[in-house]
Amino acid sequence: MNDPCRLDRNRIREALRAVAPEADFDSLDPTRPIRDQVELDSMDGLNFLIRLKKLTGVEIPAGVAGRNPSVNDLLTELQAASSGMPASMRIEPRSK
Amino acid sequence: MYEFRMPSLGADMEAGRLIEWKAKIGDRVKRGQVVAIVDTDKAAIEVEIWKTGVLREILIHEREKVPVGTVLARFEVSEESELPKEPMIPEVVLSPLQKVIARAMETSKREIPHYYLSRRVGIDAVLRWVEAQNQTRAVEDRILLIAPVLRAVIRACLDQPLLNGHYRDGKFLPSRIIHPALVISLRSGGSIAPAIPDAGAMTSAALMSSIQKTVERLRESGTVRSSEFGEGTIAVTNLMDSGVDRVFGVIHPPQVAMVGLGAPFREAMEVQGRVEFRTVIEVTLSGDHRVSDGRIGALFLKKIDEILSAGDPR
Repeated sequence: MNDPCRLDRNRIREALRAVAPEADFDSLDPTRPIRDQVELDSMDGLNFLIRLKKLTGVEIPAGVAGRNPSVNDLLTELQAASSGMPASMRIEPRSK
Repeated sequence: MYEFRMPSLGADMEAGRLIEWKAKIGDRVKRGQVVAIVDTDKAAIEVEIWKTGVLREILIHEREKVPVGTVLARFEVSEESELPKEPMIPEVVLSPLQKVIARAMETSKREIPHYYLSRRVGIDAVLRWVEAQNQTRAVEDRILLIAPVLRAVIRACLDQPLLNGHYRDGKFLPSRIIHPALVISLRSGGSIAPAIPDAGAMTSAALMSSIQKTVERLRESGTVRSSEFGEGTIAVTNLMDSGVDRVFGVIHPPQVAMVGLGAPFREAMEVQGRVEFRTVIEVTLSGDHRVSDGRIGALFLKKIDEILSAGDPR
């Protein structure tokens, strides 16, 4: 696994620790939705994404967040953002 | 010596007749062994002994009827009859917060005559509004369903002053200001219901921002502000993420009402002879019957339904 990916994983780990300190990040199945494996209500889910944005500067789109993402889904988003390439299906209208 | 007594074989049993001894003096008996047969009003029952030992003395003879608790016989107990030590589950020590909740809930259930109402409320319009909003919002400004639902509760309160206020010393003081307290569960156990300050005039978006900051602070640093305690005039418990259909909350004294929110689900509904599907939540009300009643509560839930059916409850 290359370095940027490990960095992103560590940031996801840190953001998750802030909202669910008891969760064992390394035992999570990266292909399954995080919320199926860690007890998070929608408030925790939102605070997790806010924390992740503070750490990475990346905005996980509402559509992705609403589909109950896995660790791998988030990694895909973070990688796409850092390579400057828009993630597929990304809708980011900034009307304001 | 172990005193073997007439057992109580049911809450209403006062006496029993000893029908037959199944052991005689000098017999060695084992824990769990049947040593006597006793006749109650209902049936003849085999009575076991819960010690291991030797029968030394019979005090009550066959066919005698004696009250519950009378010594029937004496056994010389041997060492081995001691109960094996079972692994104990450690006692749960309540945190100071949990003790506060325990006292409030005791007072509530002892003093408040609760009544309970439930109504299914369609939320498709408000869900569409939330989704559309979030397309254009930065992650820290995103809106969750709780915000417009809380807004609808606040607006419905305006019409029903008997649900919003404090009951103390036999008097109800309605509150002109609506301070909704949102029950927030903590990972460490227990829950807190901080009042959302100045919520009365807030839009859904402003409410969301206030809720988000409060939850983040409570859950991540565990700090509660004194202004958040005791100020709530009505409470809301949100189990929309939990998968339960409905929740009937316990009113937090001195408040007089608690609104409960269950998880969204899809239901089929008949509309002019056709079946249509809609998304609903069950909104419940636990009300204080000293202050309000089912008619008032029903009007309140109807109002919430009307407000949410229209989309964003501005």
